[in-house]
Amino acid sequence: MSVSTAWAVPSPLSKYGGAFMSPASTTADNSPLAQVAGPGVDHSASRLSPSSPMFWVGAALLGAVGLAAMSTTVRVGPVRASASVGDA
Amino acid sequence: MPTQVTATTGPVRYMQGIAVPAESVRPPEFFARTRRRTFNEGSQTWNGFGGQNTWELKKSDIIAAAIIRFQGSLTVTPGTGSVATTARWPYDMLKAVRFTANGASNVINASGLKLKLREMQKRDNCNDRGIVNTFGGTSYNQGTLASASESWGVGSNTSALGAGTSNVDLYWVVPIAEDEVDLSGAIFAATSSTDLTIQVDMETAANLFNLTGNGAVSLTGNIQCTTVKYSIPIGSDGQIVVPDLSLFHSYIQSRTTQLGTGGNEVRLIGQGAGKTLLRTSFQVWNGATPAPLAMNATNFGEIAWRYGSNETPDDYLDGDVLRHINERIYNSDIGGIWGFGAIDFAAENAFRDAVDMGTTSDLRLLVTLQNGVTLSNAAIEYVQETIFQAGAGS
Repeated sequence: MSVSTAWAVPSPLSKYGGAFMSPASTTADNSPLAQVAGPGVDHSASRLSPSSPMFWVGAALLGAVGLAAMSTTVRVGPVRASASVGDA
Repeated sequence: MPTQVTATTGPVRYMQGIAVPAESVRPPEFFARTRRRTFNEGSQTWNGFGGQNTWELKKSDIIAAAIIRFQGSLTVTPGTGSVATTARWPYDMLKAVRFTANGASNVINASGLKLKLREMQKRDNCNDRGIVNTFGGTSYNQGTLASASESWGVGSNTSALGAGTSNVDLYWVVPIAEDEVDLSGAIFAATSSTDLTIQVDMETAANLFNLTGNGAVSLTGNIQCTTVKYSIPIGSDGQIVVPDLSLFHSYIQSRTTQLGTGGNEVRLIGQGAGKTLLRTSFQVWNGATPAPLAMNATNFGEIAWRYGSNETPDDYLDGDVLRHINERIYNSDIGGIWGFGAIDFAAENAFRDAVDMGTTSDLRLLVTLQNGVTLSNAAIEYVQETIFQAGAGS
């Protein structure tokens, strides 16, 4: 039940201002680390991820080479192996 | 196998380290239903010069203030020697009054004279106009910080006291709440987990009296403690109702002897984020038998508060100017006899003027002592009055 009253109880903020205007204080457990100078953590995506621009550069390159066909031959002593893609 | 059953509880809010049901915090309903109680915590035999009297306050209600009273008899016997009082007499007879609440130790820690000052600073209807007492052998009727209901027995800082016995009746108010109207800083006491103690350390006889030859003094009496409390009512839902008690009020005295003529920057201690400075006051004690330097232009030059490298928001030309400004806001000449100077951020509009101690690094007081002042045993005693959320530290 709410009680109506003509006398409004002031809040610490409305009465004292000052430090109560600042963001609420937090405990040490959930305080963010202070900003420091120095090398930061690399948050860039892996090159194998679709989020990486390099992934799409590689995909475009493979597509272009695939249209032109590709073949290769490897020979180690008497053993010979070859592979080809396309009409080569 | 029996399993452990965890009791289910509703949401709680922690106030000054005490868990209170969140739905019980309803300030408007509290103020509508509570009842003021003036409670006698007990009278004790005064434990003598250099002694100590302690009250563990009754664990009930919400405590807003405590009033300490000394009532006794002073017998002066000069004999063939002499008896004189120092300026510590009478109010600094309480060398330190300390109040510990709910794990926050010493939220109040100041001498008796600083408590008298605070009462004059905070209560608009309190003044010492026309209250006659002797200081330094001169009778004053302004700036004594006394009430008509008090009796000093003998003058302060006064030599060649005659033989005789006189009544001594002195009062000090311990400002537990910053504001006794809206109870900001009041203490929740109705739980067995609280620790509420008022401890009073008495000054030594050597610091209160100067005796020569076979001169002697004897002081006997009782010391009493009265608290002003507010009952915790039951609301319409059958639960207790409390106001917002998330604040602690702190009044701390410090002292340093690092003083010289010229400018002295005194670092204000206990600075921290989340704390708001309401006022800071100081005296300079000086002399072979130390007494406060009167607040005037002869003794004091520039007075200011400062932070950062050189940010100086309030800058007073000299002691005369600060004395006048203090008298204007307090209706008491606090600087004339007792030599107090105060920089007040809460007297007119705390919301506008209070200092956020989290954004004013290296907060300090500038006190300039004039070159003509001869310093001996000089020390500055200063008090800081702050208010802060419980948990921000005291």
